Amino acid sequence: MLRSLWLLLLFLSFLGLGITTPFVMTLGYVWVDAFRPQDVSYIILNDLPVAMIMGAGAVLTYFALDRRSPPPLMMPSVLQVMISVWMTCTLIWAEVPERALTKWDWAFKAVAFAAFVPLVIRSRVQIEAFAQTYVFSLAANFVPFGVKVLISGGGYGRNLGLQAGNMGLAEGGHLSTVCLMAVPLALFLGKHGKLIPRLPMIHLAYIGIAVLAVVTAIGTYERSALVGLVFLGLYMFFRSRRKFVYGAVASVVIIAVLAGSATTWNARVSTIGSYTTESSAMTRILVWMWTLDYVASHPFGGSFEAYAINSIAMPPDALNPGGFIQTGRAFHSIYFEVLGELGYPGLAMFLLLASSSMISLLRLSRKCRKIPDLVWVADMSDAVQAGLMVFLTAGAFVGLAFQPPFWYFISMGVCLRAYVWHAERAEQGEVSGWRLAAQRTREALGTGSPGWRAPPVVPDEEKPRVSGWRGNAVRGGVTRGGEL
Amino acid sequence: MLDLVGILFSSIIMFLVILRAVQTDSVEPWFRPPKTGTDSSGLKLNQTATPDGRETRRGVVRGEWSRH
Repeated sequence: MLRSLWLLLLFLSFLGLGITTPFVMTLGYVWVDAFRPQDVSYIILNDLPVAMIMGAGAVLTYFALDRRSPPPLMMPSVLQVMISVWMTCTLIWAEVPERALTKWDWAFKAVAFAAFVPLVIRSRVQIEAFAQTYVFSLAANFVPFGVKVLISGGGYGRNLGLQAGNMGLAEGGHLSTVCLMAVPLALFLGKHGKLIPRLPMIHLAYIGIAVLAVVTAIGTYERSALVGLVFLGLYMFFRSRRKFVYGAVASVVIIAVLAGSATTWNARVSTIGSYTTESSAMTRILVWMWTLDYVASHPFGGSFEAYAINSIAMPPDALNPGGFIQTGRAFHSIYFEVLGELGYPGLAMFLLLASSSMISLLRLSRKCRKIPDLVWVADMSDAVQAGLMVFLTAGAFVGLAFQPPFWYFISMGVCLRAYVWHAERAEQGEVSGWRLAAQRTREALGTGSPGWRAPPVVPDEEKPRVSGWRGNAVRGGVTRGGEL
Repeated sequence: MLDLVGILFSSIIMFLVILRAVQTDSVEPWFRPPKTGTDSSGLKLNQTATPDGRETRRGVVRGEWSRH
């Protein structure tokens, strides 16, 4: 009861603040999406369409109050829109229309809202608030989970989180993947966060959150978590500038995990190597082979939940000497999920989205690393890359292609690129529409700027010498107030 | 009990962060031109000195950068 009232108060606070400050409404949607208060409340919120209310509020307040400084059009945003359109088209030839429509309902919202996020999240403060909200929304799930694992140990299929059932964050593979994705983001916030007072121990607090996220992932006993953890460690090692320190810390963590893990965890993880005899792994392989056969005859996929029509002949084992048939086995892989449901066009768009985002984040990181004011952008780019790397590796064994985390990380990358784009042009002043056309005309005609926008007069002898990128801007003849 | 503590811990910090974001976002410039170092005279490249010695951005009064 206390929990439900507290969450209701939070929900109303998001709505109240969001009416005057539109980006808060978007953060509210992120909170609803990641934390899912409707699933852990016992009164009122569990009966309300909270996501719809917050999502509609975010879109309406943006269009009514906040359409400033829109981001430039970028490939990831275009691909997000294309994928959301394509997934809607696949409903026409859905193998199981009713189930497809149910999944489309939340998958479309996840992709479309992620495409909307960069319109609202533009400044550094907003980008950090977005990351903080996402991490703390997840922390509500994994902090208690991680503490319970430390106290009593985890277990495969053992749900120690807030949500009941076997969906969303209650599913081990999903929970472990999103926890590992949050680790680099939490470390980034501990280093560069400016919305939390810079107390001496604040960095350690974020490290503690990251540690609990890792403990939670390990405590799920998911093999995909180990895959994600290994790739996260490797990626962060290669991106680290202090490889020796990082390597020493990583070694301590590995020793602690090996020493502290239960024999049941070791037994579970060791089945990764015996994929031909282990039932769960063998089923995955057979489902993936079925998917390849299916798309050979249905290149546009079978829309959402198309796996429901599969029929897998399992090889003989000790319990079933003659083998047996399994039906409706899920894809258990983001790649085969997208391939089976959206076909080759969908997979091509998905892979292009992932690869283009990774490459653009790498470039952004390299570019901003040299500029002291933008080092935070470089570090956040690295954190988002590491998170995406976890998703793309651990996700090879978990079917969460249309769950929000991946799409939010893509949006974070777009927000960062858009921020740098705006910052590079901030010196010139932001002009668009008819003002931009007028400015270009003035430049072409070589006439001065109108008096009402003329910059303060600076005597020649007081003009500073400038070079580098700013020098280029000045040589180009344009400053914030108009021409020099 | 642990669940409740987890919810309270994360939601209180999250909301304090959001309140701080709302406060900061309304007074800080959204986009700052990145500083790339200093020129030979020791001035930061995107700053200049006013006659009375105060440093200010060229041609821009402080505060004007926000919310354009």
